[in-house]
Amino acid sequence: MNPEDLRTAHAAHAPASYRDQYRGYTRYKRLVICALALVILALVVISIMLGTASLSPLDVIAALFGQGSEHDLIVVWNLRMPRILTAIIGGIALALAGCAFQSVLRNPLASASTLGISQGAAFGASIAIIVLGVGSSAAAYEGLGASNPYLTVLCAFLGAIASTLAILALSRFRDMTPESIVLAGVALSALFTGATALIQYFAQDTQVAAVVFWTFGDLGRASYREIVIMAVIATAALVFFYCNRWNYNAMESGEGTAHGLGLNVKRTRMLGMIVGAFAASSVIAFCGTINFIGLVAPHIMRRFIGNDYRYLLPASALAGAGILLLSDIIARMAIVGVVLPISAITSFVGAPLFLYLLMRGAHR
Amino acid sequence: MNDAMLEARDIAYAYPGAGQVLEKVSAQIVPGSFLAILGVNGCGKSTLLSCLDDIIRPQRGTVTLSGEDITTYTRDERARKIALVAQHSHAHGVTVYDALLLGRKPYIQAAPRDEDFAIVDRVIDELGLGPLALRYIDELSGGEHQKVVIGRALVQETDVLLLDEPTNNLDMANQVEVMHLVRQAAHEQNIACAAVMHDLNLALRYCDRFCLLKDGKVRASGGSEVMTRETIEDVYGMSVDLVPYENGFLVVPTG
Repeated sequence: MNPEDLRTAHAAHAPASYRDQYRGYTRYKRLVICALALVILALVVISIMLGTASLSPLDVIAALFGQGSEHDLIVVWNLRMPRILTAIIGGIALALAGCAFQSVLRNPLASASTLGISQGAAFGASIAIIVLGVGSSAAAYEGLGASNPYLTVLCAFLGAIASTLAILALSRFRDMTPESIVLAGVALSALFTGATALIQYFAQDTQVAAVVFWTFGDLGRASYREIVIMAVIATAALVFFYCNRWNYNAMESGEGTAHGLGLNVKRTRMLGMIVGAFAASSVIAFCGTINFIGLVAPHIMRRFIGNDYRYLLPASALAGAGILLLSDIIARMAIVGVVLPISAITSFVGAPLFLYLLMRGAHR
Repeated sequence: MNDAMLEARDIAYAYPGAGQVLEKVSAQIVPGSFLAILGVNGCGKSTLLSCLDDIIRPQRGTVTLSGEDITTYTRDERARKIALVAQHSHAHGVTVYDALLLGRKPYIQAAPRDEDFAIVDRVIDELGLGPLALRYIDELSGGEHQKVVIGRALVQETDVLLLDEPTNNLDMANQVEVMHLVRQAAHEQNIACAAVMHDLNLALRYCDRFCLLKDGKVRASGGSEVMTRETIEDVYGMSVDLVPYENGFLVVPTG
C-alpha cells in the first residue's frame, strides 16, 4: 500500500483522534525502515554467498557464527566481510551527509559531489600519488597496499576537508545564502577538477593510471582497521544528525520559521556541513570517489516516507547502505574475475531507480 | 493571564553597506490587541519585525519582552514567548499534522509528549483543519496553507504573534479568513499580535492599532484616529479619499 492510500484509509476510518490517525501514518514509516533493514540483511547474506568461491546460505550462517570449515571462515571474514562492512558503513555515511547537506542548504542537489568534496579528495589523492610519489611504483595501484598506505588517504581527506572549509569560509565571510553556497561548491568542484587535470598532464602514465584507478572507487581497499575508523565517524555523524532531526525539520520550513521556532540557523547549517563533510570525506578518502549515493538515497526515501527527518535520516542511511551493497554485488558478479568500478555501478543502479520513481510520480 | 508586552524603544538599524533603514523607531505590541505595521515598500516594516523577534539586533535602542531585554532570553525561551509567521514558509513532503507538531519544537526534548499531541489536536479543531490533517502541505491551496502556518504559530502557545505580510498572494475570501483568525487569537486568547501589511482597508477592518512608518521613522502610531487622510497621503505619497463605511471608513486612492 502506498502512503497516499494509507493516508486516505486512515482518514476514512476516522479513529478516535487526529493523533491516532497520525500515529497510524508514522507506523507506516517505521515499517518501511524495518523493511529496509531486512533487505540489507538479505543483501549481506547474498553478498557473502556470491563470488569465485560460492557458499550456501547454511555455510554463510555457520561462518557468521564462527562455525564451518577454515576455508569458509577465511572467505567470509577475510575476503567478503570487509567489503560488505565498507559498503554498509560507506553507504550510511554518504547518504547521511547528502541528507544533511540537502536540509541545511535547502537544496535538493546538494551532495558531496556538488559541493566539491569528492573533487577536493581526488585532487588530494592526485597530489599524494603524483607529487609526493606514492604512485611512482606499481604499488600505487593497490591503494592502501602501497609503501606509504596512509599518505593517499590523508591527502584525499585533507583535500575534501579543504574544499569544505573553503566553502564555509566564503559563506561566513560574505554571509552567503544557501543557494550561493551550492554555487560556490560548483565553482570549487571545477577548480579542483581543473587542478587535478593539470597535475595529471605533467605526470607519468603509471601515475595517471593510479589516479584514475583511485577515482574509480574500490570497496576492497579498506581493512578492518580502516573500517573501524569509518564506523566511528559514521556513528558519530548518525548520532549528531539524529539529535538535530527537529532542527532539520524546522529548516525545511524556511529560515524565518526556523528562527521563530528557536533555531540558530547559521550554526545549524555550519555544523551540519562540517559533520557531513567529515562523514563523506572519511569514506571517499578510504574508498575513492563513490558517486550518487549521497544525492539519490535521500531522494528515493523522500518519495516513500516524506520529508520528516525523524524518519528520513535513518531511512536514507539504510537506503544508502542498500544501494552501495547491491552495487558492490553487481560490480563483483557482472563479469567473472573482474571487479567493476563501484562509482560507475552506483550511478547505474541509483539513476534508473531514481528516474523510475520520478516518472512514476510516486508521491513526494 | 498574558501580560507580556513586546516593545521596541528608539531602535535604529542599518544593513551593512546600505543606508539607515530604521531611525529611532518605537512600537508597542500589547496583549489582546492586533497592531498593523504599515508603510510603503522599503520603509523598514519587515526590518522592524525582524528586530522585534531578535532575528537582527538593532545598533541602537532596545527591544524588551515583559520588561526584559529580548537578548537575555535563550532561543527556546524566546520561541515559547514569540511566534513568527514568516513570509516564506513552504515545507514540502510533510503532512499538515507534521507541520503543526513542529510548532511544539521549542518544548520537545526528545520526542513529543501526549500534551504536545493534545495541543495540536485542539488547534486542528479550532481552525477546522480536521479533514486536512493527513494531507501533504504541497497539496493545499494558498489559503489552507496559510491557515496551517498560523496554526503552527498557535501551537507554539506564545504570548506574542508576529506576522510578515500574512495575506500576501491570497484571494479576498482567504485574506478575510486569515485576518479573522489573527484577530480572534488577539481578542479571545489575549495574544499580542502584530502584522506587517500592505492592504490599508484590511488593516482598518481587523486591526486595533496602527504604526505607520515613513523613511525608517514612525510617522504616526495609535488607534484608528491616527489613520487620517493627511497621514496616509504623506506616508504613501498619493492622494486618497476616506469613504465612510459601517462604523469606520475605507481608503480609496484618487487622482
